[in-house]
Amino acid sequence: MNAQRPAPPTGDTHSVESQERAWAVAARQGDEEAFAKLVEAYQRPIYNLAYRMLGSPGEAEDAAQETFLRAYTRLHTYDSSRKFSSWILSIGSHYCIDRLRRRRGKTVSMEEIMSERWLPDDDPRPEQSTLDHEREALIQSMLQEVAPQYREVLILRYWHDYSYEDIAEITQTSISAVKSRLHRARNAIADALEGHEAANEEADQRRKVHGNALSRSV
Amino acid sequence: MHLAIDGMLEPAEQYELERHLAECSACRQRYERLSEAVALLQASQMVEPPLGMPDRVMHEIRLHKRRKRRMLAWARGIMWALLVIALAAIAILAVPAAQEMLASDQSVYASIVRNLLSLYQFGLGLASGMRVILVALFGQTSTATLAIYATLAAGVATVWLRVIARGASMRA
Repeated sequence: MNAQRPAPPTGDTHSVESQERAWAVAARQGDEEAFAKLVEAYQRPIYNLAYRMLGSPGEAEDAAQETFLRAYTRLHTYDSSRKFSSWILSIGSHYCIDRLRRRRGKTVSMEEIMSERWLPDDDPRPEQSTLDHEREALIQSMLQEVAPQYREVLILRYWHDYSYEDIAEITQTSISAVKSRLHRARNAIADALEGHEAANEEADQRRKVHGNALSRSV
Repeated sequence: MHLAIDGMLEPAEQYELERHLAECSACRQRYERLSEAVALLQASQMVEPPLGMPDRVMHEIRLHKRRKRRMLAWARGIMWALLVIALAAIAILAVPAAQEMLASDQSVYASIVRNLLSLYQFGLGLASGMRVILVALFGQTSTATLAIYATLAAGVATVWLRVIARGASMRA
């Protein structure tokens, strides 16, 4: 488990859930302020889901806005016996998957990923930032290489720390489907990593050969 | 292997796995690759959303509500206008046509009463009455025109009712 992301104590989670449920019910009856509170509470998870699914910060904000708008117009379909988090995240992930399907073929290039700002503002170790930057760019490009359904479960599991149960609710599948999808997703990402390292090795080899050729010709 | 990476193996199963990995290099490579990939993912943090995003979202939502309300008002206005025009046209043209009908046959009152007693006859009477109106409006006697008119009127009424109903439910 990542030490920098501590889990909240369970007592808190329940009161947070019921608070959000109350806001959602109020918003459903026309309380705009209540919905504004929900937007503040979920801007980070929704934005991050969109960012990791779509690959660029610009598209992510666009998708996040659209997600909140859809949630607002569909509030009358929200079942208050369910968790609000599952409901709104499922709207977000369905929208992102639709958007990816429409994109079909145009992938975000490595250069684009490296050029856009993505580091959190409160990075405490600036000397690490180049390494972090490279590592994050690698993660982003690996994510873009796997299928959207795999990307979805990886994001929900490793960034949002959702349980199998919650992921099943968000993706509207069974827990066993989630487990097998995660299994295949991890294989896919491991393959992407292998492909990347193989490509790096090839590039290194080519550089060595080229270097030798140069030194011989001099 | 995947269960081990998630830390969900029993100690006995974990031991079995480690024993196999010590002997099988292919599996060991795969396991290392998987662990590496998962460790990368776990090391990654959530990023901060752009500043002011909630305000922009609420702004979009308010714009959307305003747009929807405006469209609804337009739709309602057009429907009322069409209804008034249709009624006025019928009134203007039906009155002389009805007067002519009455003048040509004195026993029309009796036949109307007889028709009213039977729903089937009443329906027929209604249809022939509409045909009279259509003759006055379009100069045609075909039932096809009557059918088209009735369908259009029904379609317009349905769309209108749907739009009004959705507007009522979307007041939030």
